[in-house]
Amino acid sequence: MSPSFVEAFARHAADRPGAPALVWEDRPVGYAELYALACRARAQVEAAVPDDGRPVGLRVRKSPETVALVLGCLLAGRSFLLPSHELPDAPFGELCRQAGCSAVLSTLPGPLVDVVVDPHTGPATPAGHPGGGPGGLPLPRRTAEDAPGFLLTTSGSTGLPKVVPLPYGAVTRFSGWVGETFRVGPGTAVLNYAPLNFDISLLDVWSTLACGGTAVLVDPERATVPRHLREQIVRHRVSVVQGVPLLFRLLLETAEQGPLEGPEHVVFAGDAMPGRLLDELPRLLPGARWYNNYGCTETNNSFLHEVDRTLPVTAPLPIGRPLPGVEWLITGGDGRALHGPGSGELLVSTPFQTAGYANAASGERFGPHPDGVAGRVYYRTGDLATREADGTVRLVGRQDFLVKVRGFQVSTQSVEGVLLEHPEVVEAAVVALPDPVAGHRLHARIRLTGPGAAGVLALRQHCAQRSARAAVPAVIETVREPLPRTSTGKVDRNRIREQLLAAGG
Amino acid sequence: MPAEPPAATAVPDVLDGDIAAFVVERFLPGVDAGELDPDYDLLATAVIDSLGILHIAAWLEQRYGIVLPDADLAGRNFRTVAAIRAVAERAARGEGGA
Repeated sequence: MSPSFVEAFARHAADRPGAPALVWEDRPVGYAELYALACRARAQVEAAVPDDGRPVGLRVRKSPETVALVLGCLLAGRSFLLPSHELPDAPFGELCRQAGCSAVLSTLPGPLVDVVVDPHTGPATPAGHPGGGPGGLPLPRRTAEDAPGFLLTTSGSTGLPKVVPLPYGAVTRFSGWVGETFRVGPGTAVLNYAPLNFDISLLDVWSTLACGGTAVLVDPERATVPRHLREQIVRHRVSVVQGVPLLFRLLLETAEQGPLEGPEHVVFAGDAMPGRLLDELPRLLPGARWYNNYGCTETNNSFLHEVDRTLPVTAPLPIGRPLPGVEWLITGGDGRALHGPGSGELLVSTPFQTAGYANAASGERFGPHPDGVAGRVYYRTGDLATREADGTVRLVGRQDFLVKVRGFQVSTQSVEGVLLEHPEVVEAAVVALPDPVAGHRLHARIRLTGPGAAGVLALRQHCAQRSARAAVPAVIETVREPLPRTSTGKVDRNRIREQLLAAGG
Repeated sequence: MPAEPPAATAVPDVLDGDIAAFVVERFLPGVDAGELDPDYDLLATAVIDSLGILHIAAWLEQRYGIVLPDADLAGRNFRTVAAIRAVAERAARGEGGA
């Protein structure tokens, strides 16, 4: 059995103890130092919560101590639920209950926290533990490849999120792909913009540590300060930057300070990159290789597209090619696999995926190949994709965003895309409201570059020139304040929809 | 209650400005009627749909006493403010159904 990602991390701590594992508030935390912190956290977890097979819940904000707590759980071979720290008490408690957590752990006292773990105190090698690991500390406990480790949550914006257990082996395989693809290894600094509970931290933080690189942790409190973000990249010689479009929009605000020459690999994740952002990005990141990353919490990454910078870059970017070991298909209206060009729902099967939800039925989402090809479990992504004649795969939108307007199928996302093509439109959200006659009617809320920069009539013409009539919003509302966004930086369409419904539509 | 239609002999003077004001009030809240060009395509831009056509026809009857024959309740006659004025004037002169 090849070493797990946890064992790979331990090996780096043994081989290069002084190398920086993390950077936090401009201070490096070396591999040996982090390994010792993790061993102390592990000892406290094992003492306080005996392993009865149930997961523990972690209620943590990003810091070296909380990274050590996660690593402590991993060294102990435990499974642990890692929800957003922003989740209020009631849903957090309910989520832990649904996941079957035996206790809630944190590095600081707080509501619902049963055990406070302080990685700076206590023995790193408790009595009864054999040493033999880095610096005489214990080795990681060996785990079965299919044993669950991380229990991540989906970003479900309605109701409780779903709990997605990721096996140790799945993360190990993923970290191998990360190391090869983005050349992450000793001396490589990777920016971690996302909160720890996000799936994309599997790349930024946990794969980086498995590969011997340095994870430069962005403090979520300062994650919206463009100058701070730029400083982290420049000062710590970051060569891999992965983030949601919001990160790149913020960084662009520093473009007058000159281009960022350090990053070699720039990865767009979490949401489609708007065309306007792609148009502006060359002046910020002229030398980097750009990638469009496609994945979801359930399967982790499944496709990667490297942008050909010698050709004009247009949105939406393709999602590119399947990662090694990934199987995929697009299903047509009859639910069977499409062969050749066409559109439908994208199904993927990856070496990195979960075996199913811990707190919800999985049958709707996970299943065998619809044409009966045996052997693999496919995940229905809910994303609509188009395979073009030359084999290029693009996302058309979320199936959830498909609505019927006067009998025509319309993707509210593609309507947003059309509005955002207008040079004066900065932000756009399109929501479908129930309509007794039309089925749905589209309400667009947009923010312009300046008050009155474009009239509603001109915007309607803009839409009419680019889309079917059913896809021209019934109402185009312009606002001056920025649109509400979710914690992941996506436009909060649900909130806008609720506001409109509360106001009587 | 709708006003009593004027006597059929009087041919009412249908104004672009009147139509634009109604279209804006009913279908384009927040837009100034003066911005709506008489040739702006109301159908392509989804300002009005087939239900909207019926609303406008009802308003023409109420405002001017002009009853459009069914044959005139077609998209081509409602595509722009100018087209609505033209179809209303034809109907008022008794030349409807064209």
